[in-house]
Amino acid sequence: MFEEDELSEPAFAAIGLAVEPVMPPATLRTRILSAAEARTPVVTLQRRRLPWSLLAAAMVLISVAAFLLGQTIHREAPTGPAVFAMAGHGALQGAAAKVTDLKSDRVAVVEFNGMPAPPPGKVYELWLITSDGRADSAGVFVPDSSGHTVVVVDRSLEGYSVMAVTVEAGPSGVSSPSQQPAMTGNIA
Amino acid sequence: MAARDTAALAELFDRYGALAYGVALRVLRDPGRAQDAVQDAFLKLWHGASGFNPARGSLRGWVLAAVRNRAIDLVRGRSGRDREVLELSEEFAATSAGPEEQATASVERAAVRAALGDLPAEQRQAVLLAYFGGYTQVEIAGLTGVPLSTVKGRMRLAMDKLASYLKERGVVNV
Repeated sequence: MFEEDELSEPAFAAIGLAVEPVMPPATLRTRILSAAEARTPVVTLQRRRLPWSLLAAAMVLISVAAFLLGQTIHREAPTGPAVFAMAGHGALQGAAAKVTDLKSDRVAVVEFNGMPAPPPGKVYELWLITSDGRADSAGVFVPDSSGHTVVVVDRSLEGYSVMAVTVEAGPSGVSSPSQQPAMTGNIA
Repeated sequence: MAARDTAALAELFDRYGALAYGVALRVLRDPGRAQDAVQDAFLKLWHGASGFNPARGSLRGWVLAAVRNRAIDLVRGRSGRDREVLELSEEFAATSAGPEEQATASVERAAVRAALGDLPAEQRQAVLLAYFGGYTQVEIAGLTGVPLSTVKGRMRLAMDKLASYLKERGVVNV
């Protein structure tokens, strides 16, 4: 790479300004904001000490609410986000992914961590697999230098039971998996 | 941004998305991969927004650097490193900042293009290979068939000239 101190020079960074801006497709904005929302952390409220009697009453209320909510969930099809996990094995041992299925948007966001760089000329390919074994490609990706990336699956996960990752020929991947997955997770 | 406000992310994208996409396209020459690079960069910025330090540069510079770095990450993963090389040098050679261009909002782009156009061809080639190709100085030496010390010298001269030219025109704080 260019020398580190020169890379950070404003004059080097300014070279990018020579490029003509190009309006990206509107879907890109939607993809980015959907992925960001899926990764928005829960806001942590400031803790305050409560009297034990209030805590006990709150616990009872929460238990009742959880029971009623459970009954409701059993009766109605879930439409809110669902979260699944994928774990790597073999060459991807230690890598993991969090799948957030935004059912109402018919979009899923997959955040990968701990992914090693694929071999030269190869890419990772994400697959959606039905219960009868049909694998549909959900895109290819290469993680960043820290092993992280976010992939947006621009379709509903309904009808699929497994999500998987294989290493395939780059840059565009293949139409059906050429090897056993190195990362899998149940999404049904 | 630092408060994880996606409205701020939307505003950032609306303001700099076209420039970011232009840079990613210029590096990757592939709309799909360029979109991936922009998405990864904006999400990374959003995720680490608290790391932005206005004292170290502008928000635009922060976005540009993130997108360019991610695009270079992706281009380095390509088989055979099928990057376009030789025509890079000529792209900005004939450009100059004409009076009508100076009068528009693209005055900064015109200034940077003019600064690049003013560089000797071999210096321009070296910095463009580094910026848009992500090549190391060793790789540039191999590609252009000159000693590493010559590449280092060309880079240093080019950076000094660019900085001086852009400073005169107020384009230093990217």
